[in-house]
Amino acid sequence: MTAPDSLIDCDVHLPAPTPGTLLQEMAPHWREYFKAGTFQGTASLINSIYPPGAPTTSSDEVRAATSAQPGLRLVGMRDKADGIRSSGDAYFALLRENVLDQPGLEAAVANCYTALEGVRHPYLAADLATATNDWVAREWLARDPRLKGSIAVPVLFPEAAAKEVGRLAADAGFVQVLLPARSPEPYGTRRYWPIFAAAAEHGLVVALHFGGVVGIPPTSSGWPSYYIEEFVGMAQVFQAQVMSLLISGVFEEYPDLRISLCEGGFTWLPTLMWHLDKRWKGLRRDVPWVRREPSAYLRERVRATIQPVDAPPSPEPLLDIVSALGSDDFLLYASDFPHVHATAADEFVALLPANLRANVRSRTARSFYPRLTPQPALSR
Amino acid sequence: VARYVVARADELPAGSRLIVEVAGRSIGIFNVEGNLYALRNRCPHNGGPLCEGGPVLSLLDATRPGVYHVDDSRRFITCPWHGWEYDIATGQSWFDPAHSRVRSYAVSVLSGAELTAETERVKGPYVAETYKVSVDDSFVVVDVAE
Repeated sequence: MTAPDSLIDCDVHLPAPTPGTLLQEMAPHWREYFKAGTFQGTASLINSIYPPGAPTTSSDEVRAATSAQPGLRLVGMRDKADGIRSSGDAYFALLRENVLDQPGLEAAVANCYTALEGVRHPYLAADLATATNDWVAREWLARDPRLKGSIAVPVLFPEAAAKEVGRLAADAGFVQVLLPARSPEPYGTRRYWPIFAAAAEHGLVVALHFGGVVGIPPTSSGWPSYYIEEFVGMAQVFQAQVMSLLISGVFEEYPDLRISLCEGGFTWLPTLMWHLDKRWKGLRRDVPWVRREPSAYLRERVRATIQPVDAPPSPEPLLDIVSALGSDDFLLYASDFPHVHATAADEFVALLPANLRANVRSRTARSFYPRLTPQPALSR
Repeated sequence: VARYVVARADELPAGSRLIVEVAGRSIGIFNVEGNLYALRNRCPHNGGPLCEGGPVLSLLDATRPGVYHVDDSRRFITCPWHGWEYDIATGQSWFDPAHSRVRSYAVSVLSGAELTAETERVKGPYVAETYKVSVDDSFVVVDVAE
């Protein structure tokens, strides 16, 4: 049924909407709130994660196509209030050329990161998430049925976040819930569990994605001085999150919960698993709900996108690391368009033996994402 | 010789343990609420003194996060080096009972009368000879037969 060369791209990016764009989706009281100038939008927060001029954020090609706005973050779709001309078509043309027109492309999972976790107003955060999701569905997912969405949630307010997941559950265009990698506490903390419960209930994967502006340092040793430290150091954040999720018992609590690690890399996983498995044997009485080796939960319920590939100068050690993951069914293809990584996804995939390559390109995603398998009960 | 007298019964009251040397092996003998157990005092992981660690613990499990379950019918010792748990009755580890296990031995309490009736068995080369078996006392006997 599936061509051997089929491709599922598990991480592509959509530009963030301007506040004016979102306002059109929102209740009138927010118009008054915005007019009063109290809320300036999240652009500066997004920029702190993806600096518009950084070579990692975007290629020159994409930057040029969206040059009416600073960098990628703002696309003034129908945003008459601040007079910005729509560049959605220009961005979509690039998305089509770079992602959707790839040979064999079956689906592309799109993330629209808007740094919502930086909004501490509970009602505004919830309504911004709703407006963002409705805008994503209408302005982007409607353009191509292969383009799948990620549900943005007000992550600081887990009950509201779970409610938003439930609101969109019937929309088959959304295949996952988007959480920023950086959070105020690690995600295994129980207060986040309503989000996991809702995602598991509705067959949605939970994606932890590079980013997060929650006011705490992005390293476990405090604030770094430079962007490169935040960029490369994000792997430490993912490591903390993976450990927390595995130890918390959330995978025991929700047997259908699945987590994808997006743009967090994967080369650090084998050593973390070796250490966790070994220490679990002696420390498991502390967490008796962890009934199997932590790595067993990881291989069953967690997947990672291949970007960024922390590639060594020669390919051999990289293949050893892939082998040390202990599963041929773990890595998900991701172009991470339009972000730019030192080793391109296709370069990495070309190194893999044929069977593993086919898994990475689409098989693993198809079996891991319940909504990327045909679901007759769900329809857009 | 496979059975060795290692102590007088009153030297191993409930809640106590003894480390004895039998046939070149260090063995831990435990009295858990009147039930006797014997395990080789050598952790199969790194060779740590398995029987000289912390308290004998009941099986602790959880059916869900935060929902604890204690099973007092199964007791474990934990190695003092890395805390790996071994079933005191079977020697099987908690985390991988099929592949990681420590040798367990049959242990019993016999009266002096019973022991003197099978005299050739009490003449062990090491510990046994230090005990003068009296028909009026009871003795802890460990069986190290393969």
